[in-house]
Amino acid sequence: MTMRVLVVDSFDPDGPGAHTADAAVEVLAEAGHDVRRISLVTDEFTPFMSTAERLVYHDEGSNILTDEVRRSVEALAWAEGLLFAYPTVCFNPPARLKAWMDRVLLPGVAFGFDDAGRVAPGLTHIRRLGVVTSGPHGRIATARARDGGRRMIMRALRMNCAKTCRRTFVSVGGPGEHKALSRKLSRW
Amino acid sequence: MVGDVRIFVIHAHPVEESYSAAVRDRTVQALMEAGHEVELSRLGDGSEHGPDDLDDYQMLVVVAPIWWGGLPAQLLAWIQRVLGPSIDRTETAGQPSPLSTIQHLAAVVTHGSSRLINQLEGEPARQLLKRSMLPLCADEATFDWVSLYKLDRLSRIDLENFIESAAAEVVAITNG
Repeated sequence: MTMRVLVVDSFDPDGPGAHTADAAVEVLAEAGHDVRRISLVTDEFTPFMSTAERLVYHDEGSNILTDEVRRSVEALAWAEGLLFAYPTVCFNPPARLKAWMDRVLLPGVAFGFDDAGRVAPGLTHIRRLGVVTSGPHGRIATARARDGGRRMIMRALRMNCAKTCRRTFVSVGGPGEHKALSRKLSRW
Repeated sequence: MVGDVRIFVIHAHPVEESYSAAVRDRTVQALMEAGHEVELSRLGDGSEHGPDDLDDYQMLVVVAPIWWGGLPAQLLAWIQRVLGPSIDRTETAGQPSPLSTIQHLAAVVTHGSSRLINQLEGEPARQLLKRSMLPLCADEATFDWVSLYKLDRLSRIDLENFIESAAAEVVAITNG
């Protein structure tokens, strides 16, 4: 079944690994999915939460202050699948992608609160969640460092998606190693 | 080590009236009262960029809220800029790490969610400090993670107690 997929791309289009995001978009489009891509580096997405944004953070419905955040929030509401493409830096997503998580995944957008003040999922329309990444370390070193990007997205963010949401994690070693990427994403 | 430890405190929360800033202020005050030299960097709203090296310091204290299990973007940006070459081992052949003089690495952090939820998420921020930053510090450097959970559900008294206990815990680290 085809679906609407948002690709949040934080590769530098002029840097190494940029082709990884292109390859992911290509595989998804070829499989018939409706793909939308947001490029955080090209768009110069502001890489930190501003004081004004934090002050209204908990005001559901009026906590979106900028056009760049609004565009991402709208794309997120449209999507059924969510794929993050990023270079792993210090065993974590690039700070600009973390800023996207901090600024876009807001109360009223990605989660809410129940009567007891516990977090309630807000992305229950997301039924596929994935990561496509590349980095300077091998599998063992990455496991030993407890891959922060994988934990933040595959675990923390996953808790806010559909109960049956399936996860895909692809680490691409070097150019030419796109077989795993095609194999895993072609099942979306 | 009693007194006279040179300490760098790095803080990341965009709101100066935040609970996180109050935790920071009390911790800095307690460390100074204990006779230490404290330097503070407020990454706050991203307008400050943090130090390029910490050669003059023996202790690094990170004060931050935990968002999505990780550090706020501006703090992650500082780590990736200053420590990235060491952690990812690019262009560092023969160079000491920027944390080579640090004997104590500590974090004082606040979570909105429970301890259980954070354990399920795998505590990515804690793992970054413990697994990737601590090995760049001096041999046998200590690591402490002082954390508060369920921030938005605690009483005013609980919040005040944490400010005091966290500051006391950080001061105790300097006493070895």
